[in-house]
Amino acid sequence: MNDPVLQAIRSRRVVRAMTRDPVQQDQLKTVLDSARYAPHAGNRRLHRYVAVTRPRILRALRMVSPGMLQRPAAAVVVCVDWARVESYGFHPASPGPYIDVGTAAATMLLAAHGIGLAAGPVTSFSRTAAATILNLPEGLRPELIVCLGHPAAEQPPAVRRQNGPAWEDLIQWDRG
Amino acid sequence: MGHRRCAGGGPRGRLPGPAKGAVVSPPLVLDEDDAVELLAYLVTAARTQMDEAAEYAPMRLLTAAGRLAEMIAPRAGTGLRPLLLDVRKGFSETAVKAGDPGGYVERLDALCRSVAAHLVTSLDLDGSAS
Repeated sequence: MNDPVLQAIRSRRVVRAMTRDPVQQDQLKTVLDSARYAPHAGNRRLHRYVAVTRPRILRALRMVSPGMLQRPAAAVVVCVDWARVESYGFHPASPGPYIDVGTAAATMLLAAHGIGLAAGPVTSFSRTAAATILNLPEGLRPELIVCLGHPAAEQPPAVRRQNGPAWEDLIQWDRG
Repeated sequence: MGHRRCAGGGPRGRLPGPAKGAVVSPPLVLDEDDAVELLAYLVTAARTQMDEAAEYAPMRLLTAAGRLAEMIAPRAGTGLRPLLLDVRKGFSETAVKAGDPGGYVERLDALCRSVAAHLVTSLDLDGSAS
């Protein structure tokens, strides 16, 4: 398998322990820019991205994020602009905006991996606390944090599920 | 009961105060006995949660937060005390979520907002320093 895209996809891992080394501004911009190329329903631009580099803000974010095991050197907080979502007539329970949070995050995680950064997504955090810490305008709701940094030499063990289905069992071809 | 205090010192203790220009550590507000009590509660709550209803989990966590707030209140700075009161009050209001899960979530969100507002001030997130 020589295709570099497939190699990147298969070698990317969630990194949960990071060093104190900083993320350079141009690296952060590269990761942010990659989100533009993620698939978004109708190209409606329903999301906002908050780039966080200040150590105190990163520290405060981690305090309100039980799922953030790593201490990132930078972070990108992916937010849904619900005011804009509503202006398009989407129902508040519509899954579309959430799906696009995922595509944006996955794209940024791959971009980070592509330029040699460590990255990991976090969804276990207090939305209200993060919005307060980031002073987000009304209508923006943070939904996922992409943590960025450099991998520490030792990583906590990955989550493994015993007795789960084999990958092949998760796939249905055509009609069941 | 004799509490074994965590290491520390200051103008009123037997150790000399910090030299002029030295970096001063923030005051210690939790002694070892209380820290171990909380540690024991959290570890055992993790275990008991495996046998209990899922709705107990937030209650146990808030209990831990409430106990921690109670433990550190006597030595906490004035800036922290309103949050500690909020946490202790929040625990008593959110003790049970049965019957009003939506209201429970709202009260928890309000508590999270209080925590964040305190962090904005205590960490000076609006300041020019990093």
